[in-house]
Amino acid sequence: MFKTIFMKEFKDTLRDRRSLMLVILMPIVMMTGLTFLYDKMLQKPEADEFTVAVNHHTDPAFVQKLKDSIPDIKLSQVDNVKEAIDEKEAQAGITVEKGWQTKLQDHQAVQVELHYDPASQKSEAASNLVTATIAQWQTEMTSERLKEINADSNITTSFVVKNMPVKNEEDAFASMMLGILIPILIPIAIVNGGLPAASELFAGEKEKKTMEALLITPVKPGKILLAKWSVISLLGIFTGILCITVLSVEIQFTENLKNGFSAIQSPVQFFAMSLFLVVLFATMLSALISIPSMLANSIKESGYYTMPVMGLITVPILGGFMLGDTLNIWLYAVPSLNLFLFVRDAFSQQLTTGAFFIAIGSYVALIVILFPFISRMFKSRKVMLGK
Amino acid sequence: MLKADRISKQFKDKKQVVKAVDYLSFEVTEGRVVGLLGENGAGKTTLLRMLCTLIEPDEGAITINGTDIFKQKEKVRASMGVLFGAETGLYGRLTARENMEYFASLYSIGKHDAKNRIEQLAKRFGMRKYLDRRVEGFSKGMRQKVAIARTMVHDPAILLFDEPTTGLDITSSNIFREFVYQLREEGKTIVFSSHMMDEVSQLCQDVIMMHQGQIVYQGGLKELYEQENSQDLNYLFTTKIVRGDTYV
Repeated sequence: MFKTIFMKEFKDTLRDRRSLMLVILMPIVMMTGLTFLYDKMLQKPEADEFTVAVNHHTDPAFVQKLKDSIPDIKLSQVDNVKEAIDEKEAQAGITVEKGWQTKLQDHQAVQVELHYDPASQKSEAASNLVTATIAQWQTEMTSERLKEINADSNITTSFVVKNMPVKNEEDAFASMMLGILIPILIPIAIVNGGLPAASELFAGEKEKKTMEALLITPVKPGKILLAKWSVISLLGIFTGILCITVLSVEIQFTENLKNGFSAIQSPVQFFAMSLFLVVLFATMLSALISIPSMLANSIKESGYYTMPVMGLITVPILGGFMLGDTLNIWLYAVPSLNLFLFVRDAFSQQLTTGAFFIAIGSYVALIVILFPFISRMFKSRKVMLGK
Repeated sequence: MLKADRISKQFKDKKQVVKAVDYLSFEVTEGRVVGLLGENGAGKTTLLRMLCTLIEPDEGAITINGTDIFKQKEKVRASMGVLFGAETGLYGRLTARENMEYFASLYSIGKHDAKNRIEQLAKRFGMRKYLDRRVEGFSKGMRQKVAIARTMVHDPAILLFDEPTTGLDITSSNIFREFVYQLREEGKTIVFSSHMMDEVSQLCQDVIMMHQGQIVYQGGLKELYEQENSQDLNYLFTTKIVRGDTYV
């Protein structure tokens, strides 16, 4: 009997275009779009992509000095440097006081104003490039001035700092981006995969009065519920696995994001563990999203409860961003948050088997608690017959 | 014989207790067609839901041939065909055949028997042309036929219909009436609720009139006409309610 109900529910759900879109099309589009967007965000802009604005009346010698120092940069002469940045004609703008060369010769400080838009990543990068160039001029000028007074140029150097990153900086940043992308997108995709079916199989059946017809058959309610739960879980699992597959394939075609995976010590073990978590998360989630659907009397009403359910899933994940980087295996007992921690710790090479099993245990415990609860709800005629 | 003995059911609605069914007792003899008459909120749907074991009464007992129906729910359900509304209980994305096949298997009818039964019902209701089309594109009349056929797929001995012609046009209502008439000839036990007095007077041998959860009349239609010296069921129903008669 389970097979009969399961097959019917599965067939019925797959014939619904809305469900199909959310189960198959949406994860592919969402993962593709975000994978390449994140990859683009990781790309560092090159100097030839920047335009630096200077005023028309700027001393040509200063403009030439800039050109000589940063040959790839585009220099644009404008009436108003600030306006040029506001209107996105340039990423940075520079003004220098008149008589700058005389001031240098007189051993005085030259006032330089550097304009940029702090809200724009590219503008900030352009300003950093110009700042670094001027800092280089400063070093050279200081050295020359010390030479003129016969002083050792090393007199101004008290500490020399050499940065020694323990990881490749770009790869580490790509890992961090993946650590944000994966734990947020996959749970959302799983919710999207299971939610239409959950709405349809409880609230939808109540609305169409097929639930009443189903409940007056000789089949035990437990069997009906188990079949419906399995269909919702299966669709969620399918969406989760589809997301992981799409991400794994598409990431190979990215320039920077693929480097993030180099942080994973054992990719096969990581994917196996991910699959396990996806299966349990989707199974737990299908029980959770069935609750509002059972309480609702129509698909429309069930839709009103989508946001709180999404909140229950995403709030612990977002909370994860506020936690430190140190491994705390007991936090793996918090469902949903443990997905974030699992990915974060896998990318920072501190994931332990103990932490993974605590996460597994948390989902198993939640399923054990939720299933009898939804079973009681399903057996309650007051709930299932609705208005 | 289907027998209800002092059954009652109450619901809580916004801290208010509503007595939907108030100590009802009645009998439905095998092979009879019984009309359940009452205004909206009289308790007809609650009563039908209790008769098909969907909800249990707070007090009293319902028996079939002396056995409590709630003690052998599965067996009772297998012997009943229930339809709430005119064309409900169908899955729109399944074909008419798939709908019937699904319910046949829920009632543990073997594939071969189900196939034959569906063919019989399709012939009987003239649905062969659209048997393999999805129900979502059907007219109300077509849906009604499929809904009735779905209710009949396991050949139940007792049929319960809740306002089966509400919202249907005259042609579709006539299909239902003709169908009940045929079942009556076949000796099936039928209980159906209705607002249509002409429908009840045409089809039913017995009638149960309900008002605010209580029975105001129960008995044969002929006897009622003789007792009240009128054949106007609409008038008789109103008179019974106005007089506040309570059947004991």
